[in-house]
Amino acid sequence: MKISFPYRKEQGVTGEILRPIAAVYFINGENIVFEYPYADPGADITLLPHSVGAALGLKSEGENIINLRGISETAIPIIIKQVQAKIGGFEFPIRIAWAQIEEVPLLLGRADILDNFKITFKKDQVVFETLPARSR
Amino acid sequence: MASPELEDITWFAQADLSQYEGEYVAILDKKIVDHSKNAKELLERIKNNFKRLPAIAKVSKPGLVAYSLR
Repeated sequence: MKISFPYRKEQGVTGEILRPIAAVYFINGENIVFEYPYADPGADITLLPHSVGAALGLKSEGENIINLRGISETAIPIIIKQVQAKIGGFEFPIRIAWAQIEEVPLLLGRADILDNFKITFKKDQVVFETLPARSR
Repeated sequence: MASPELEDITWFAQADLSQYEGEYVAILDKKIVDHSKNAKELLERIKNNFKRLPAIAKVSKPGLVAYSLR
């Protein structure tokens, strides 16, 4: 499976900037959310804001709350959960960092993504290609 | 021919949605069909009202960074 997604034109701190995005179904039982996270290979793990996880039916069940930090060093409380994801018709289990706050972006990080896809960042599109089964 | 889902994300990639900054928008057939500051509330409103599930996108503010587990 091979699928290409565009870059989104946004206003960054240095003016107009293009950011890679992807179309991803997140699935938790009967709950499905179809999202456009940033494709961010700099992120260790996929990050979902609190209300997106709530839309997926995620609940806090006494798990440890971990602090996620970016280059700003600002801590973001998260809980690690596992759901299913589907990209271009390919479905796979994915660990996600469910933020316990709302003010975070949706990021598609490396964990469970680079195990399943070869991702190529081209000038005007990002290409997801499933790895051969023996490589996953 | 691109699927409707790919047409929608391509539309979103080019759209000026600055009026929705900080909100979630629901996208279907190259249109914003609803919006909210809360994704769960938005999904509950839209999930049974359309021929297929709209995409939900968060319209970000400037200053995005990457995160690491530590």
